[in-house]
Amino acid sequence: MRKNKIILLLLIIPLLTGCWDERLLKNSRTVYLSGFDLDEEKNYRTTAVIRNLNISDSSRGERSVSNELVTGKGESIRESSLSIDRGVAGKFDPAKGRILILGNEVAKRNIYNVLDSIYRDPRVNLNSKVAVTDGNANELIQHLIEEEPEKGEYLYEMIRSSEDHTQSPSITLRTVRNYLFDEGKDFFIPYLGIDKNKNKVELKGTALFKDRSFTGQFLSSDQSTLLLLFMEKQSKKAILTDQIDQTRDVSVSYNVKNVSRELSVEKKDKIHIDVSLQLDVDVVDFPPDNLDEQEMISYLNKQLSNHLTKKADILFKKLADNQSDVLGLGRELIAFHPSIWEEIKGENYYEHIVVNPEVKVNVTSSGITL
Amino acid sequence: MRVKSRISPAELFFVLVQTMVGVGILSLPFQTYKAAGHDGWISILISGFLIQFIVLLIWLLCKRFPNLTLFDFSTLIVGKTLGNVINFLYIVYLLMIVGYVFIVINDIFIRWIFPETPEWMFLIIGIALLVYGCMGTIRNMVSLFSFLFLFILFLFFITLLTFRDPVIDVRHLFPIGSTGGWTILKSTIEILPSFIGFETLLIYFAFMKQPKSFSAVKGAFSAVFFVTLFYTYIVIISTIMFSPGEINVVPEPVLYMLSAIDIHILQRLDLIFLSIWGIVVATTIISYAFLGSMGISKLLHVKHKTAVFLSGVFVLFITIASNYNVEIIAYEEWVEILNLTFGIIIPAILLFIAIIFKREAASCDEEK
Repeated sequence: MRKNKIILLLLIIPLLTGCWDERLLKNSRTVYLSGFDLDEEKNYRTTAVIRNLNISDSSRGERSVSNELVTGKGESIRESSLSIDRGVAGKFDPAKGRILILGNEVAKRNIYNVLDSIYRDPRVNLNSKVAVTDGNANELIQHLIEEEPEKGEYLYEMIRSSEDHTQSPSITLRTVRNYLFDEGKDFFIPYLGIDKNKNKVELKGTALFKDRSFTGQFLSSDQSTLLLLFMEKQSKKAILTDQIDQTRDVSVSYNVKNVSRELSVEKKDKIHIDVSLQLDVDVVDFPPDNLDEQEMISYLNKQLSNHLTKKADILFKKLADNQSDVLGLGRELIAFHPSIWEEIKGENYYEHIVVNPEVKVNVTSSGITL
Repeated sequence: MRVKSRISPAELFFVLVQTMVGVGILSLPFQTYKAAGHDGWISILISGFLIQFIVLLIWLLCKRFPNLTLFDFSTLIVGKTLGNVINFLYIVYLLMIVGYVFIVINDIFIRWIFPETPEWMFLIIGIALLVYGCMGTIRNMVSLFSFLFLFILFLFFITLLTFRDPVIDVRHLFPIGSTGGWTILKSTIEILPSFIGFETLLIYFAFMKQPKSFSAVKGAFSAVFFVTLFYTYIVIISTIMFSPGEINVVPEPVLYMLSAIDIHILQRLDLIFLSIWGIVVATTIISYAFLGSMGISKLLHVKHKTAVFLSGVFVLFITIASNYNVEIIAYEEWVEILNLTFGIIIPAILLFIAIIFKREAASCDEEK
């Protein structure tokens, strides 16, 4: 009996090794960054940065990392990555890409065409970031490779920190799809560009999308922060700055601690939606000080509320012009006012909606005052 | 042939939950969404409620024949020949379910984790597991299942992590009931088969300690209740997680939402979920195959171990045969129809006949 069990065990052990699906790091070419463009003949061009891990045998397994830029062309995304695969030694493994960059032309068309083939790969990293450039993705990546010592890492950290500062929404490859398929919601993603003067890649703001394509318009970082606050999605920090007294050049910076939003829907000739936002803020930079006085605080509250309401007006005008329903008001109507939604639903439902924003600021703490 | 009582109501709970929670769970939100839109969770609740009635019906049937399994009392109700035909059909049905589970699990493992491992590999492992798992007595099986219940709880805890996700939008559930009462009711019929596993009670009730008292059925009720809640929970989180159109392109929503969660040290939570899910599915396989082999041993008068081997061979045969000839979706439809027939219709007919012709048997416990 004991012998039988041992034989059984020996028979089972070979089953456990799983020889088929091992993928050794030394054989695979891990993509670190990839970008998609459209050329004149409507072919897709994929640009990718491949990270090579060289383990040298001579110097006691010392490791070095090098980056390689590859491009491929094809009528579909899959075909273009296959043409990359043919061009590199080892297997082209797109699983670990941390950022996908959509070229301007690609983004202006239906971006699901690009993303679909990526979603179908079970190994793909669904947490990679998606961004749009103002020009060609190829150019941007080439620039990164040549000029930046940190390559893709730099870009990733830049997007991450802008998320932490509530300057861009935390959107990943997977969450984008959520918006693509939602009839009552649009989205915005980081907008990158090369600053010619500083010769640096920088985050210009956020690109506004309508349905599945880029509108061509983008929001500045400040506007993005305000919009994210309207979505009640403030991150670790959300610092806004306002010039409250232009003649004396006094400005104040404050960090938003707490957001609460109220929506009220009213149907007249159009659908009027009042959005009121209550912000609890910490003042982090205010040279005139005197924040221990109640008058000063109520003065600040009033000034800041006015300023932000004005800014919000401009912001929502921009959204209305582009018909980009980033706030998800369509979803709100579907969920809580289905009868109104029935009347306006369709591709351009946002033109029936008028948003009246109102911001109330409440200074709760002044930091350390001397 | 009478069986000796070995299961307490609490153990019946574990056995039934393990049998019911299985392959369906990954695609459940997708199925309910197709049937009832964002109100799928209501359908699940109603279906769960209906299943309670069916459990009651099965219990009323089994109560008349204490300590006798379906394989024994079917001959008492409709006579020897017809009874044996029913037994045979039930055996084929039980083993077909095992084959179905094999096919689904192969498909999912290959698509999600091991794209290059050949299918026969999983089949060998699965059959080995089946044979090994069914070899023991029902006592062994019950203790195994009770222990593995921890893994179901673990599945639950993993899914809790999805609440960290930024895209969660409760508004996807609203307006509640807008798909219309009729659609919701109609979809419950389509959703009933996701509770597959309750029909095993036809046999498990025979092993209860006091089959006639109401406490026997309590374990079954609470198991169905637990499964209903668990399913409702899974459907609700997937509904709020995915936007309405999106869920249509994601056949395994549960895995998709897990693969996206990024805890710093773990990137692919779906792989962990799948490995635990594999264990939970294995219990479904063992439970069905055990009952199938019990039927075989009673029908052919062979030893339990021989019967286990026979059922292993049979499962191997139908898996290979259907793998190359039948689409999974077609198989799935078959399973749904069979489940309705063998889980609801036949027991109802049997109960009907038993009541009319006053067929009953005495309990062996009460004779003592």
